[in-house]
Amino acid sequence: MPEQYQTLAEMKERYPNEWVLIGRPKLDRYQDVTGGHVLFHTADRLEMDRHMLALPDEACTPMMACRYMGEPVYPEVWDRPEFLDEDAELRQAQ
Amino acid sequence: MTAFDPKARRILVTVHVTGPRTTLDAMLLLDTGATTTLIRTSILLRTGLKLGPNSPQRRFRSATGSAMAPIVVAPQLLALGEARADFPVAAHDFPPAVTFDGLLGLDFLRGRLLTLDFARGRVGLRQPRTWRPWG
Repeated sequence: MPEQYQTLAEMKERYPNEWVLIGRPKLDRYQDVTGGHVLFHTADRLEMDRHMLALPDEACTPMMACRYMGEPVYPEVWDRPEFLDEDAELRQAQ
Repeated sequence: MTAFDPKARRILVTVHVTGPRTTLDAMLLLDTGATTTLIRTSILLRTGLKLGPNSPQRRFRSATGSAMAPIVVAPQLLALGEARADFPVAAHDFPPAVTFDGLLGLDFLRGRLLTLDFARGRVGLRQPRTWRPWG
Protein backbone atom coordinates (compact mmCIF):
# COMPACT_ATOMS: atom_id res chain seq x y z
CA MET A 1 0.00 0.00 0.00
CA PRO A 2 1.63 3.27 -1.05
CA GLU A 3 2.09 5.96 1.54
CA GLN A 4 0.18 9.22 1.42
CA TYR A 5 1.27 12.05 -0.85
CA GLN A 6 4.54 13.73 0.16
CA THR A 7 6.44 16.58 -1.36
CA LEU A 8 9.99 15.98 -2.54
CA ALA A 9 11.22 18.15 0.34
CA GLU A 10 9.38 15.92 2.83
CA MET A 11 10.87 12.81 1.24
CA LYS A 12 14.36 14.30 1.48
CA GLU A 13 13.79 14.94 5.18
CA ARG A 14 12.31 11.50 5.85
CA TYR A 15 14.66 9.41 3.73
CA PRO A 16 18.00 11.24 3.65
CA ASN A 17 20.59 9.71 1.33
CA GLU A 18 18.18 6.99 0.24
CA TRP A 19 16.77 5.95 -3.12
CA VAL A 20 13.01 6.42 -3.34
CA LEU A 21 10.59 4.92 -5.85
CA ILE A 22 7.73 7.39 -6.27
CA GLY A 23 4.32 6.46 -7.61
CA ARG A 24 2.01 8.89 -9.37
CA PRO A 25 4.60 11.69 -9.25
CA LYS A 26 3.39 15.25 -9.46
CA LEU A 27 5.33 17.29 -12.01
CA ASP A 28 5.90 21.01 -12.28
CA ARG A 29 5.92 23.05 -15.49
CA TYR A 30 9.51 21.93 -16.14
CA GLN A 31 8.46 18.25 -15.92
CA ASP A 32 10.40 17.89 -12.67
CA VAL A 33 9.01 15.80 -9.82
CA THR A 34 7.66 17.86 -6.92
CA GLY A 35 6.05 15.04 -4.94
CA GLY A 36 4.19 11.75 -5.05
CA HIS A 37 3.52 8.54 -3.16
CA VAL A 38 6.49 6.60 -1.83
CA LEU A 39 6.30 3.00 -3.05
CA PHE A 40 9.68 1.88 -1.74
CA HIS A 41 12.83 3.35 -0.22
CA THR A 42 16.29 2.02 0.51
CA ALA A 43 19.85 3.24 0.89
CA ASP A 44 21.07 0.35 -1.25
CA ARG A 45 20.83 0.96 -4.99
CA LEU A 46 21.08 -2.74 -5.81
CA GLU A 47 18.13 -3.42 -3.50
CA MET A 48 16.19 -0.71 -5.32
CA ASP A 49 16.99 -2.39 -8.64
CA ARG A 50 15.85 -5.77 -7.31
CA HIS A 51 12.65 -4.28 -5.93
CA MET A 52 11.82 -2.43 -9.14
CA LEU A 53 12.22 -5.59 -11.19
CA ALA A 54 10.21 -7.73 -8.77
CA LEU A 55 7.36 -5.23 -8.51
CA PRO A 56 4.24 -6.77 -10.09
CA ASP A 57 2.66 -4.74 -12.87
CA GLU A 58 -0.52 -4.20 -10.87
CA ALA A 59 1.52 -2.50 -8.12
CA CYS A 60 2.98 -0.04 -10.63
CA THR A 61 1.39 3.29 -11.44
CA PRO A 62 1.29 4.52 -15.06
CA MET A 63 4.17 6.82 -14.19
CA MET A 64 6.82 6.37 -11.52
CA ALA A 65 10.00 8.17 -10.60
CA CYS A 66 13.27 6.99 -9.11
CA ARG A 67 15.13 9.62 -7.09
CA TYR A 68 18.14 9.83 -4.79
CA MET A 69 17.31 11.89 -1.68
CA GLY A 70 20.71 13.33 -1.04
CA GLU A 71 23.46 15.34 -2.61
CA PRO A 72 24.44 13.77 -5.94
CA VAL A 73 27.47 11.50 -5.73
CA TYR A 74 29.80 11.52 -8.70
CA PRO A 75 32.72 9.16 -9.10
CA GLU A 76 36.07 10.75 -8.26
CA VAL A 77 37.45 9.37 -11.49
CA TRP A 78 34.74 9.33 -14.10
CA ASP A 79 34.90 6.07 -16.01
CA ARG A 80 32.57 6.99 -18.86
CA PRO A 81 31.89 4.09 -21.22
CA GLU A 82 33.05 5.03 -24.72
CA PHE A 83 31.65 3.28 -27.75
CA LEU A 84 34.32 2.01 -30.07
CA ASP A 85 32.52 2.98 -33.27
CA GLU A 86 32.18 6.62 -32.20
CA ASP A 87 34.20 7.94 -35.12
CA ALA A 88 31.95 6.22 -37.67
CA GLU A 89 28.91 7.54 -35.83
CA LEU A 90 30.27 11.09 -35.87
CA ARG A 91 31.07 10.90 -39.60
CA GLN A 92 27.53 9.67 -40.27
CA ALA A 93 26.07 12.55 -38.25
CA GLN A 94 28.04 15.09 -40.26
CA MET B 1 13.02 23.87 -20.56
CA THR B 2 13.96 22.01 -17.42
CA ALA B 3 15.69 23.06 -14.24
CA PHE B 4 19.20 22.15 -13.11
CA ASP B 5 21.47 23.20 -10.27
CA PRO B 6 23.90 25.72 -11.84
CA LYS B 7 26.28 25.40 -8.88
CA ALA B 8 26.58 21.61 -9.02
CA ARG B 9 29.65 19.84 -10.41
CA ARG B 10 27.59 18.21 -13.15
CA ILE B 11 24.28 18.92 -14.92
CA LEU B 12 21.56 16.45 -13.97
CA VAL B 13 18.31 16.52 -15.92
CA THR B 14 14.98 14.75 -15.63
CA VAL B 15 14.27 12.17 -18.33
CA HIS B 16 10.98 10.30 -18.80
CA VAL B 17 11.56 6.84 -20.24
CA THR B 18 8.40 5.30 -21.66
CA GLY B 19 8.25 1.60 -22.32
CA PRO B 20 5.43 -0.81 -23.11
CA ARG B 21 4.35 -1.10 -19.45
CA THR B 22 5.03 2.19 -17.72
CA THR B 23 6.85 5.51 -17.77
CA LEU B 24 9.75 5.91 -15.39
CA ASP B 25 11.25 9.27 -14.54
CA ALA B 26 14.99 9.20 -13.82
CA MET B 27 17.86 11.65 -13.42
CA LEU B 28 20.48 11.52 -16.17
CA LEU B 29 23.75 13.35 -16.48
CA LEU B 30 23.79 15.72 -19.45
CA ASP B 31 27.04 14.61 -21.06
CA THR B 32 28.21 16.12 -24.34
CA GLY B 33 31.25 13.87 -24.07
CA ALA B 34 29.09 10.78 -24.58
CA THR B 35 28.03 10.00 -28.13
CA THR B 36 25.37 7.53 -27.05
CA THR B 37 22.65 7.82 -24.42
CA LEU B 38 23.04 5.19 -21.71
CA ILE B 39 20.42 4.28 -19.12
CA ARG B 40 20.65 1.98 -16.12
CA THR B 41 19.44 -1.49 -17.10
CA SER B 42 16.92 -1.79 -14.24
CA ILE B 43 15.18 1.42 -15.33
CA LEU B 44 14.74 0.13 -18.88
CA LEU B 45 13.52 -3.28 -17.74
CA ARG B 46 11.00 -1.74 -15.32
CA THR B 47 9.37 0.17 -18.18
CA GLY B 48 8.78 -3.16 -19.90
CA LEU B 49 11.59 -2.99 -22.45
CA LYS B 50 13.09 -6.38 -23.20
CA LEU B 51 16.78 -7.20 -23.13
CA GLY B 52 17.86 -10.60 -24.26
CA PRO B 53 20.60 -12.54 -25.99
CA ASN B 54 19.19 -11.41 -29.34
CA SER B 55 19.29 -7.69 -28.50
CA PRO B 56 21.60 -5.71 -30.78
CA GLN B 57 24.88 -4.93 -29.04
CA ARG B 58 27.54 -2.27 -29.31
CA ARG B 59 31.05 -2.60 -28.02
CA PHE B 60 32.27 0.00 -25.56
CA ARG B 61 35.41 0.49 -23.53
CA SER B 62 35.94 1.80 -20.05
CA ALA B 63 38.82 1.90 -17.59
CA THR B 64 38.18 -1.73 -16.74
CA GLY B 65 38.31 -2.94 -20.34
CA SER B 66 35.90 -3.38 -23.19
CA ALA B 67 32.47 -5.00 -23.12
CA MET B 68 29.23 -5.17 -25.05
CA ALA B 69 26.18 -3.04 -24.24
CA PRO B 70 22.73 -4.10 -25.40
CA ILE B 71 20.77 -1.50 -27.36
CA VAL B 72 17.02 -1.16 -26.87
CA VAL B 73 14.56 1.13 -28.60
CA ALA B 74 12.47 3.16 -26.16
CA PRO B 75 9.01 4.02 -27.55
CA GLN B 76 9.50 7.50 -26.13
CA LEU B 77 12.24 9.45 -24.40
CA LEU B 78 11.27 12.89 -23.08
CA ALA B 79 13.99 15.22 -21.87
CA LEU B 80 14.67 18.96 -21.86
CA GLY B 81 11.16 19.56 -23.23
CA GLU B 82 11.83 17.45 -26.32
CA ALA B 83 10.22 14.07 -26.98
CA ARG B 84 11.86 11.48 -29.22
CA ALA B 85 9.96 8.46 -30.47
CA ASP B 86 11.57 5.06 -30.98
CA PHE B 87 14.86 6.27 -29.58
CA PRO B 88 17.69 3.74 -29.24
CA VAL B 89 19.53 3.72 -25.89
CA ALA B 90 22.29 1.56 -24.50
CA ALA B 91 21.60 -0.39 -21.32
CA HIS B 92 24.38 -0.09 -18.77
CA ASP B 93 24.88 -1.17 -15.17
CA PHE B 94 26.35 1.86 -13.45
CA PRO B 95 28.14 1.32 -10.15
CA PRO B 96 25.69 1.38 -7.21
CA ALA B 97 27.52 4.34 -5.67
CA VAL B 98 26.64 6.55 -8.64
CA THR B 99 23.49 8.52 -7.79
CA PHE B 100 22.20 9.11 -11.29
CA ASP B 101 20.65 6.69 -13.74
CA GLY B 102 22.44 7.32 -16.99
CA LEU B 103 23.95 9.71 -19.49
CA LEU B 104 21.98 11.87 -21.89
CA GLY B 105 24.38 11.90 -24.80
CA LEU B 106 24.99 13.70 -28.06
CA ASP B 107 22.64 11.43 -30.00
CA PHE B 108 19.71 13.05 -28.18
CA LEU B 109 21.02 16.57 -28.83
CA ARG B 110 22.02 16.38 -32.50
CA GLY B 111 20.09 18.59 -34.90
CA ARG B 112 18.59 20.61 -32.05
CA LEU B 113 19.40 23.90 -30.38
CA LEU B 114 20.66 23.35 -26.80
CA THR B 115 20.29 26.30 -24.45
CA LEU B 116 22.13 26.30 -21.13
CA ASP B 117 21.20 29.19 -18.85
CA PHE B 118 23.55 29.15 -15.89
CA ALA B 119 22.10 32.40 -14.55
CA ARG B 120 18.65 30.88 -13.99
CA GLY B 121 19.55 27.17 -13.89
CA ARG B 122 17.52 26.26 -16.94
CA VAL B 123 18.37 23.97 -19.83
CA GLY B 124 16.27 23.47 -22.92
CA LEU B 125 16.35 21.78 -26.29
CA ARG B 126 14.31 22.79 -29.31
CA GLN B 127 14.08 22.57 -33.05
CA PRO B 128 16.20 25.31 -34.59
CA ARG B 129 14.36 27.78 -36.80
CA THR B 130 17.19 29.37 -38.71
CA TRP B 131 20.20 27.73 -37.11
CA ARG B 132 22.48 25.71 -39.41
CA PRO B 133 25.35 23.54 -38.18
CA TRP B 134 28.12 25.42 -39.99
CA GLY B 135 26.39 28.70 -40.84
